[in-house]
Amino acid sequence: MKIAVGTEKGGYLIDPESRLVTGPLFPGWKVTAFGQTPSGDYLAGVGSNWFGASIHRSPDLENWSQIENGPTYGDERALSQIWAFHNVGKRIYAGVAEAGLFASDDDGATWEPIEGLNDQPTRSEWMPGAGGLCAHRLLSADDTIWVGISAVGVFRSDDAGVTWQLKNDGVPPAGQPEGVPRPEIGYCVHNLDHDPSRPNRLWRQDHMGVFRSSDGGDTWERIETGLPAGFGFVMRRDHASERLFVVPLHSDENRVPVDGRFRAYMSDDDGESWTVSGSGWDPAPTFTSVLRGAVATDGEGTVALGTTSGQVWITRDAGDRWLQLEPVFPRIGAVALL
Amino acid sequence: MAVVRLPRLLDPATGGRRVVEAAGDDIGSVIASLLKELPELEVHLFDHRGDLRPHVLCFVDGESTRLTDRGAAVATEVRFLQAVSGG
Repeated sequence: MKIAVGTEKGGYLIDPESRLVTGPLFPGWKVTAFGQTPSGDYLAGVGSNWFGASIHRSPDLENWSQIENGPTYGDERALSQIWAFHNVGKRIYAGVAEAGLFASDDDGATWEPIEGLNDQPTRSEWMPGAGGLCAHRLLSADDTIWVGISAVGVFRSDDAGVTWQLKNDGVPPAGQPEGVPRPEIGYCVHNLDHDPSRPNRLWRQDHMGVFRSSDGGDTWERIETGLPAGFGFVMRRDHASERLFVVPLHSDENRVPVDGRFRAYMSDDDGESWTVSGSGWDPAPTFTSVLRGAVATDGEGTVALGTTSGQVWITRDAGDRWLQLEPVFPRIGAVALL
Repeated sequence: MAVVRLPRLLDPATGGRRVVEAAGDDIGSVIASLLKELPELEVHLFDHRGDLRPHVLCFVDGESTRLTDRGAAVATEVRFLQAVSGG
């Protein structure tokens, strides 16, 4: 297993055993997402402020080639970033900015838009968050798919991506005064995860706090007991330990850890309560953060975080002990365990 | 026939080729030849409207152009560069 690190300037691979670091992959390019095809090839979402975004594939994480027929809207919508890959059987989904989904049914060679989502009736009113207007997180169970779009909300499809419904009841809209009529869109989901054995049990790190759903997203309840703040970008579940992880930040306007205490927090009770995750954190004030794509789990106790100041933190025992790996990278936007 | 020079940053799309000979006497045909040989370049040089990307510069025989006139003549060289504004 390698820790794949996507940064503002290139991608890097860390062997967690030997600590050997290779890279940069794609020197000078932003590496924004990693994935794998059903046949086992690796995928990387790569982008540039000058030259746009594209998908590259590799059989070995060393030799990469650009996919010629990558996602494109073919209309006035620009594809500016690949945010996420997610596999459902033989199909690969790519979440992108401008927000939308594309799918490949031929191992990543060609990509088609998921029109039921991309052409939603509310589409013309979708607005970006600070990270852009992006489809950044997917989950699935059988024919049900969830996608998080900032700053629009969570959509769920119960028919394998044909039709989609907004699922944000219980979550306040972002940037709206209290008392205004509840809008249909404008919910700034930052991250999602669920329990594969109970797929309708969802957890959500939102712009407006930390939430849980027990009904597939139909309704959400706030779960922040023990957290120093509700804001943040991380939500991951290690399935072996059944632990949840978040990385709280002070607030929307001050996106750093409270008092500089950079730590992951974990929950052993489905989010009812939260405590600092284990030991190993830097005792010195550390004013950094973890972005939504910069967290990964293998489901077997390994969790990796990448920070905006270029550090990689890892636990191999589901959050009991944390270790910062060397070196320090450029600003990290994507982490994967491949 | 023109020589097309490409910036180092585009190596992932070109396999490291930074100089490409492209057939044609006008910019439209030179670009068509370039993209026929290196189709992966299209999304990097041109935006979703088909325009030269905002932070990409193009010089044809030493003159800066936004490639709005694809019929303009090319004598010897087309050079693409990233602008200082892009990141």
